[in-house]
Amino acid sequence: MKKNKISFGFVVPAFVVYTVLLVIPIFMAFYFSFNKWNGFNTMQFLGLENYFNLFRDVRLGNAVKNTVVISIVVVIIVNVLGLFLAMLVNTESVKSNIFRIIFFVPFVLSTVAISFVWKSILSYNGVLNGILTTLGQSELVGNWLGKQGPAIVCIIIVEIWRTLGYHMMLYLAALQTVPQELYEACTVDGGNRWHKFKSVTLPLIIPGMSVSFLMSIINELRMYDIVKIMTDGGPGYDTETIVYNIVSQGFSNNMVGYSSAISVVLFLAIGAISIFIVNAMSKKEVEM
Amino acid sequence: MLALLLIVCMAASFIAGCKSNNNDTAKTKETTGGTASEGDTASEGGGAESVSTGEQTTITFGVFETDNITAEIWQNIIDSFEADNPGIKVEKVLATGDDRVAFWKTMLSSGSFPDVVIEAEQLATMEGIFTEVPQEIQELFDESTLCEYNGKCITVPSFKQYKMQCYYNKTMFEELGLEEPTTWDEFMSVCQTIKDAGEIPLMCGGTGDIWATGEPYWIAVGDTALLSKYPDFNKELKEGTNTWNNETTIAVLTNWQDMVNKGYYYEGAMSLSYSQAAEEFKKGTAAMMVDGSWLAAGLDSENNEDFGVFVVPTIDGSEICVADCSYWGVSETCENKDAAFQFIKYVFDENQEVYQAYLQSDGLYSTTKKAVSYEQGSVTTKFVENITGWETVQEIVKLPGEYAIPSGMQSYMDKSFQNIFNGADIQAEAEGWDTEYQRLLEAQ
Repeated sequence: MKKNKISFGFVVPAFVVYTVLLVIPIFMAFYFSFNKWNGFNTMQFLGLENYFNLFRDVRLGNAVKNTVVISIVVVIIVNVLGLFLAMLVNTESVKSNIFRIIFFVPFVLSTVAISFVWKSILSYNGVLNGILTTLGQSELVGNWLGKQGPAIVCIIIVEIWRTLGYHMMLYLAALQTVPQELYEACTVDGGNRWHKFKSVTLPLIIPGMSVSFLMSIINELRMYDIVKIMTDGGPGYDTETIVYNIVSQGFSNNMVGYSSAISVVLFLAIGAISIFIVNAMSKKEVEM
Repeated sequence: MLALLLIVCMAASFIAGCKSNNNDTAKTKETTGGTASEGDTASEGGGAESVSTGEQTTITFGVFETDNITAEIWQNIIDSFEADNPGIKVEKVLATGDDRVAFWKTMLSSGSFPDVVIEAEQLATMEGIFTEVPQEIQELFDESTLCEYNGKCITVPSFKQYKMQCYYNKTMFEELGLEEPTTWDEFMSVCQTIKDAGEIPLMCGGTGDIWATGEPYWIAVGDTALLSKYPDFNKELKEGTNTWNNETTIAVLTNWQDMVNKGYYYEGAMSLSYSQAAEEFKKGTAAMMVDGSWLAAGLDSENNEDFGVFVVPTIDGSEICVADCSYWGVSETCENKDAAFQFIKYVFDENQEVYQAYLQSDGLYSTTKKAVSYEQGSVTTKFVENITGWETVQEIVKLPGEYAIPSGMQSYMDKSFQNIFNGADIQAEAEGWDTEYQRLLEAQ
């Protein structure tokens, strides 16, 4: 009993921090979302009006579209490539360790710093166009961050580059839980590489896969920093994401109530997607 | 037992560290403010409340810095003030990032709003942020530059700045035998001649600084056209008797999109920041760049005489130019308002040498009754000569007071300019301006 009390005591600081910095702000956002508030003056109760306005907001609709496009592409690519890379480096060798580090480093670096670096690479008079010009490939020089299509593709590429190593590590951890004997049994049964992957690896890494999918979806739905620094949501609104829109509505437009309503809907959407993925993946899990 | 004690201490320190309530923070500062080290006047995004310990008073001063208005300019003001007012210390709070209004709002929300803030005009539209300016301080300023919000004078005009004219590369103009254009048609002809010669006529910024894409052109051509035709445009807009989507706006934006479509602008402009665009212009990548008087001040400080400047001809030929006043405000929550207003009085009245240095750094003009002048370089002199005798109007989006444009509209328009630059339908964009204006007006 005494041990339990001490253990509980250790949890208190984390619980307090979590409650103060996360739980209370979430409830505050719920409250703000039913009010007209500029963040400073007295609130005015609006009921559900902020929520109805969401559906009439063309700019928000565009941000949702961009976020969905970025999320789908990034989630698929980082998971497929992450698994592929994890299988490549899932060996005990110095080379594997070096590659693991190389792939993981972008995730460790500050997102703000790497966004500035990529911006200087992709700017019209930046490194990439400079190299293309030097190599005599001037016809390939592009306005990468200044046009809608290329700008969003650049953001997707940078996000994939940044997060790929993290997902590779998640898959690597999952792969290392697969018992070697099962592969040996598969070999004895005449299974080839594909059979081993389909019948042994894939079913046994489902828990790791669900974590990886979940983390990538949550990360992409909350994307802000890369967009803010590389394109500032532009050109125009072409690369604005939901979170970029939330910040703009709250701090540029003084519409804290409305931005809270968007936050609440995003929160619920992420919650619903998370529950769906966890449920869907848990059905595919196998007992060892 | 020891473990529990440590846990309680940790929890207490976390809670103490997380407090951001105005009153609590002020109380904490009351006891800790005296520990501020000598000469340590910079605090980037840190706490920003005034404190007083015994006879020593500390006020916080919210500023931003640019290539022209540097840290040295602010330090000079602070050092001079502190030397002449030993009982008051000034702590600088530097706004970081390109969206300064959003930065101050964040400080406001966290209870760390500085006591004195420069560029207060957009925040002043929100009631209760700034305190009323005493009559004796108001009397220091030219009456025409003072403004009221809900019948109260809550800000003081810090400077007047002329916007926007067209800078040009003298060598390129000479080589192509070009003269400074005085009509819109001549301006278009100059652009076409430069284009035909295989050079790039115009430079602007892009996603790096969203304002730098269309705002310079809009202020030079759009504001002048609208205010020439509708002198009370802001009032009419607020009262619902006029709209953004009118034939003048459409004509101005159509002309601009035509210029983009004809290839008058640098192809990669949209991926540049303002600094990059200005640097490319100075390197000779483009022949012209529409920009404010700060570029003239920058060129003069470099003794750069390779560039000239002319007024972008108005479409209707009217002689009208845009000049903004910027404003300082003292926070309503400031605990030492007397010290804050003493600081303002010192800068704008008691030691006008520091005011002069501030004005000179960015090509600004005084708003005080005791006019302050300084020796201007050749580009700044030409900039001012170009508009001598012209009617001066306040930029539509920056007009202070009752008919101020709601916060967020500037950012919306800047992004809309980028859409137009990339080929968006002008009618739809102008309709969007009206929709957004109404939405922001109702929301704020």
